[in-house]
Amino acid sequence: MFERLVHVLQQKPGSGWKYLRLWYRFLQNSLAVELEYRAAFISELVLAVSRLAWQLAGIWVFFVHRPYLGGRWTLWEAAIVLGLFIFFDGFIETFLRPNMEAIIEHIRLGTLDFILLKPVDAQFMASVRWVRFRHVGDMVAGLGLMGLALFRLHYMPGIVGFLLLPLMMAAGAIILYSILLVLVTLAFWFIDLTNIVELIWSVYEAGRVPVDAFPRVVRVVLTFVVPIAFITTVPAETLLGRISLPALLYAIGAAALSLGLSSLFWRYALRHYTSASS
Amino acid sequence: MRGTYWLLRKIRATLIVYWARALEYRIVLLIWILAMSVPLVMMAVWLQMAEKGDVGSFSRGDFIAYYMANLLIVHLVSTWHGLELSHNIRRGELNALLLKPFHPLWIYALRPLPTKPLRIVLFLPPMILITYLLPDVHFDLHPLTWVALLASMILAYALMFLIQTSLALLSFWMVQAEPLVMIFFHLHMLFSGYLVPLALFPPSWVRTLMWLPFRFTLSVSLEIVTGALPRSEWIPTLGTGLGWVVLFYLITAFLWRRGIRVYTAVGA
Repeated sequence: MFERLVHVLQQKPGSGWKYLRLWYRFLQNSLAVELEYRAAFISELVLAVSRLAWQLAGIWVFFVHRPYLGGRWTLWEAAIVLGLFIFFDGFIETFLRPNMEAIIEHIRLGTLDFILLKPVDAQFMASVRWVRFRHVGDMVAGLGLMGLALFRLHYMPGIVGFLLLPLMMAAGAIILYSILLVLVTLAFWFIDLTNIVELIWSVYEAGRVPVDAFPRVVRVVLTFVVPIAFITTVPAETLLGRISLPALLYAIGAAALSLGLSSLFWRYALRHYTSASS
Repeated sequence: MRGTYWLLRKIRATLIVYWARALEYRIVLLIWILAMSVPLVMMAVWLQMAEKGDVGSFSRGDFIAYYMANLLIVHLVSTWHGLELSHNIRRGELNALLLKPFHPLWIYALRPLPTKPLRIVLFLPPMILITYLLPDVHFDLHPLTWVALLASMILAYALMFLIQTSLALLSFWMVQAEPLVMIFFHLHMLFSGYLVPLALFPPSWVRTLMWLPFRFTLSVSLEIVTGALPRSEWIPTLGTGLGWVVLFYLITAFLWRRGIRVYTAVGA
């Protein structure tokens, strides 16, 4: 027992370095693949702007009729939420979706063995192997919209807001990742899962407006059952400097809890993986 | 006469083939139908806003009726073949369709139709249930309305098909026509009434939106079935829609005739 612990402690720093280097290689490799499709890359950038425009216009129509959304969000405050929604949409497409699709395909074809045999943590390989750079445009567009919104609000977040925003966004990203990891893991039992995943994207759609804009029941579901609120609304509140300490701690707790549970579930599934291809 | 007979036979054969395919992928279809949730998100927000009184001319019941009709009808009148057609031209995959004794555009036009009954079966029962359970949700279900609704839906499908096709046919000359189709989808979501009822845009916008083709790809059908469009306006409105259909038919026919001559069959 003690020996094993020492072993892990000696291993840890070195292996962390190894994973970072490995990830750098993955990035390079993904970028090389992406550069083969330069025209697609350019048109994705154009489409990112077009997507942002229709989504913003869709929100704006609410404000033709009421000065506030959900009782307290002005147009440009809600635009920050939309900016975060678009940013995370891009984040999903860039970092999460390509890996998710690859793993589901590996499980279906029985080629997951090649990943399990590698001397690296399987969850690491399954989560960060591919990056689809062409969707970075959405992430940039989302951040751009957030910047524009702050400018229109004539509001400068304090240093605390700027420091907490990345933290809250990281919590949101972790929650997204955990939800998707659970979905991927289900593929060990249910082979054709690609379409179930589509269903989950549709729940994510609810993140485009502040949760306060929804009727009570929906609000509760989006906060406690499928914690979409932490992905867009909570970081926006943070930037606007109106997040309370309990909410902040709750967000971090939710992220940690979902990451822990989803990783446990992944390991449980791996133990039951028989590698028999269909 | 003989030509019409053969055309009908070909249409029937195509529909049967794709009906079989629709049955094979029924779960996938079901999920694709459920996955389109943006209108539901919009409806939820409007409902919360309408708790404190009507929004524009819309009460809570009006919103529910509008979006329920939307969920059903948008699927019946939509086709998303534009991206695929563009792709097939660019990659030279159109060849296989050109060899068939049937115009390829007919096949693209007929292919989505057999999936439509499945959607009616799935959506109509919950809609009827909601209409009866909620007191202030009203549809106009007069027999005459059904006729107008059907006419508007046929026009909507034709227009949706022709606009996408004319954009996708630009692939004969351009490498990247797919973004054009995508941008059309974005405009369509915003200006067809899919996302928000057109009547809720500011009045100055509404005046323009009433005439743009987007309205005739969806909104008109919703206006008819929710009773928002007065009967006296049915004929002029459907006439305008028909005008757009004719215009885009001419554009499509022109582009096809020119395009098929420059098509090299190996892809760009």
